[in-house]
Amino acid sequence: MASIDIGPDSDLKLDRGSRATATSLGPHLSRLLGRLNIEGTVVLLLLVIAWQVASLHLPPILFPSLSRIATALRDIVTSPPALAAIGLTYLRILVALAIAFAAATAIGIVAGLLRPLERAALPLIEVVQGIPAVCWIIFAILWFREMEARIAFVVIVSTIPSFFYQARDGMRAIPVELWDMVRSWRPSMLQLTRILILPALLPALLTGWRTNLGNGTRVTIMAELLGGVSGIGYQLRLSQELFRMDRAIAWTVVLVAFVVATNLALTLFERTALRWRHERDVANA
Amino acid sequence: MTETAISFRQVCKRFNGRSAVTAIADLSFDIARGDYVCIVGRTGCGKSTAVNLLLGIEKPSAGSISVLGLDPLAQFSALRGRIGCVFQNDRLLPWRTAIENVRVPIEIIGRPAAGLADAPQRLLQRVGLAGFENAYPHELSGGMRQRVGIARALASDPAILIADEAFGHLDEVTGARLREEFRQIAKDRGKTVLHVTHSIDEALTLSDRILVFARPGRVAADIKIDDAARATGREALRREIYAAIEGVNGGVPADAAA
Repeated sequence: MASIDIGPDSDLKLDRGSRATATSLGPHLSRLLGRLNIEGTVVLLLLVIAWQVASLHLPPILFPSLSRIATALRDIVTSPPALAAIGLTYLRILVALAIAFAAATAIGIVAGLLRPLERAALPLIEVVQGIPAVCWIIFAILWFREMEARIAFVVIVSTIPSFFYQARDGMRAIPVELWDMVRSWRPSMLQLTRILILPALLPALLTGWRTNLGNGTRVTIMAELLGGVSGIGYQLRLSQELFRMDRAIAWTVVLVAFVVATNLALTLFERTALRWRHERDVANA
Repeated sequence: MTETAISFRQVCKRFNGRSAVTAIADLSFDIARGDYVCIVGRTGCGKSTAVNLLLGIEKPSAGSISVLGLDPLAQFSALRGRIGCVFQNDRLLPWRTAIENVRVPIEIIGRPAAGLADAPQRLLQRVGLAGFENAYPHELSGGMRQRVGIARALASDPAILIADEAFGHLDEVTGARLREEFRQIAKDRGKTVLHVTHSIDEALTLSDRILVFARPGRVAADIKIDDAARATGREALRREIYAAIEGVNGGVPADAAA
């Protein structure tokens, strides 16, 4: 029997006999079904079911039940001190990433333009990249008294290399033809940056943000956990000290929600800012 | 005395990469204001290098270049808005719509001169793209993108237009229409045009004068074209140009109409 695809991202195939059923569902529903990752959803559901079964046979310190986790989550999102901790951690992540992004992107752009500067910056960037986050945390604890400075320092140095490489490599990827074309009009440096460099770099910079959101979140939590007195990382340490696995998981869910939400925000921004790209490329972003 | 718009004097350009290459050995020619001049020659004879030198985005190894009385490299900014280019590849900025691409030279100049404010709209209409102002380059065909490129080259009302193999990759019908449109616009506005082309026919159809380049980047023949010659002596002119490219006559500059 012949098969037809429902949508561009779908492996779901219908045989000729079912085509009447599919088309009778309507094109929108068909497209939606085509976009759903049914296999992935099934795997996650099975994992959740396995967890619940394990919680019936093992102590809550190892596998708390789904209802206990849900209760712990509810307590977090309805508690002002807990919400303050969430807000503080999110703010730390975003502010530190913004600083790292601004500094590293500026250096990366100039490095992409001036070979001597690139040669000067590269060894330092490579050394910074090679140092594990845990070492940076120890350095920060010894160098800085102020907790916020420690956490910001660790996140910034951990994420600078990635932002730098995205910016520098994005500069190298700008076609020479476009450089020559725009330069032939004799723009000022500011005009060159606005008209050519930043729009051309935007896809690479957004990729840098996606990468560093996860990286920055992990490093922030680690810094709060090891040396902090506030934030989600600190709450995780308290949960561990109190043997409260349900709270540890609930705080982790809060963290994952942050990463998922910011990724979604990035996707929405991309779809507007990069609408000039072919639909095929934007849809997979 | 006709004013000189473009002047090359004993220009030389060497590229010192892994192997040193002399792209232009000894190039000298003048182009008067308002002339439409085509450059023809074999691949690798320095045509595009000459264009880059004229634009001031390459530095000559020797010699001097003057564009509207200015050194395009040393007085780079002074030529802002005065040179418009159309290349073989449209070189549109993919993140800008058609009309936004046409506006780029005007933005760079900084303030719209009289009549330039609505120039993008009018120019797109002139090249037959009314209704496509808000289309992105990927939504346009190759011919349409090239037309946007032509409109963009004209947007700042430049004194000099450069076309570097601008029509070569288009189909015959689209190419013929665009060529004629381009020439008409240039002549109507008194532009000086330097048009690099692989096509001898294109050069014979469009230009007042043909410079035949030979390797490495020197003028092998300088042929004036008038309407009479174009009409009656086209085949003879073609043979003369072909021979100059082949180097049969030793590259001696030849006079006009046969």
